[in-house]
Amino acid sequence: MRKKAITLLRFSEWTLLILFIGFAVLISLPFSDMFNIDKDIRQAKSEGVYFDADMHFQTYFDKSVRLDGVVYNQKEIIVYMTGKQLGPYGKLPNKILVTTDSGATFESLGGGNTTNAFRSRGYFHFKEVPPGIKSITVHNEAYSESFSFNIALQGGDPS
Amino acid sequence: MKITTLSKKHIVTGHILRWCVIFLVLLYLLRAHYGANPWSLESVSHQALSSMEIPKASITSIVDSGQGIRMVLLVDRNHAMIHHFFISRPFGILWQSRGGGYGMPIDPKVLIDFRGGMSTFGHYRHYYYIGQVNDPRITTIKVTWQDGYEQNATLTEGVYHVARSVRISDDDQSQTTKTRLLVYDKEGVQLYNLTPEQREVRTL
Repeated sequence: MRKKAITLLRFSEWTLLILFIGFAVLISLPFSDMFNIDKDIRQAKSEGVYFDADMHFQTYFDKSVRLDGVVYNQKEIIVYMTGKQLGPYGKLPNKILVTTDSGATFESLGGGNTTNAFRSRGYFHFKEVPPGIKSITVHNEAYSESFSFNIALQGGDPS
Repeated sequence: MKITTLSKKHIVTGHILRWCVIFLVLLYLLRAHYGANPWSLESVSHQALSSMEIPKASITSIVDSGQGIRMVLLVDRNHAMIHHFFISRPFGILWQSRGGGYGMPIDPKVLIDFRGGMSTFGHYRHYYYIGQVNDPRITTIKVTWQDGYEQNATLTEGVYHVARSVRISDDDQSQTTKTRLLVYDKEGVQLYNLTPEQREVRTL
């Protein structure tokens, strides 16, 4: 009787372990059948339109966000960002602003991202931007929170 | 099978180890699903506001909507905004935001207003009314729902809200024009009568 109880307990423990660990792995794996951001970035690099960023994180409304890089082909801008937060909510800013070296500001039109339990990698796009932009500031502010990243879009080795 | 003292120790260690791992992974899953400190309503509210890129505000009042769902009202006087969202209690001990409205501006020129909405949870529709109160004479606010049921709204610090759930099969949505907001002062004198056609009263 006691042995049966212990065997049942052991069985439940292993079952719980496998279920919980399995589920934890599922929600932590990076998975997307909609975007392949690395492929897009490789493609942009081969075309010479990708610009790498400084790679440091800033805090914005309890999320850690970072500018990964920018694609600029003189007509459109795509901003790639990574966000981190362990929790159910979005990890990237809802929208971002881009201010050019000549002072013009553009608002993101949309974007997309792939997300797991603690990390989100995504992009924001801007259409109809003027050619010849030398550098931009990727930023947003709301109430007393803000983030701001500078990146040069000319010179430097884009690969 | 003969159990020696040594293998008994191994069996107990095995149990302890497995339960430790189960507990840690459970904490990770809870955090990923419900956010940080989900047993604290303050923390859950703060995260819900943060996700909308809105600064933290304190909870002004909570009303019960039925079926285990409540509605939280937050007033941010520093930024002149009102937020509200529904919450439920998973496992009876955690809190979870179920969505609502954020960033409604506080306008001191509005004496009283009458705004509402509805959310569906399971087999019930949860209706709510919410508004600002800037006429200091107002002490009682009574709402008449579309089926005729009357209910007092909870008035706190210049805002009121009231929520009620109706089973979908019992709900007649054709009567929504019949809802009313009756507003009284402390003597019971009726001050305002708001309808879906006239949703606010402003000072001139």
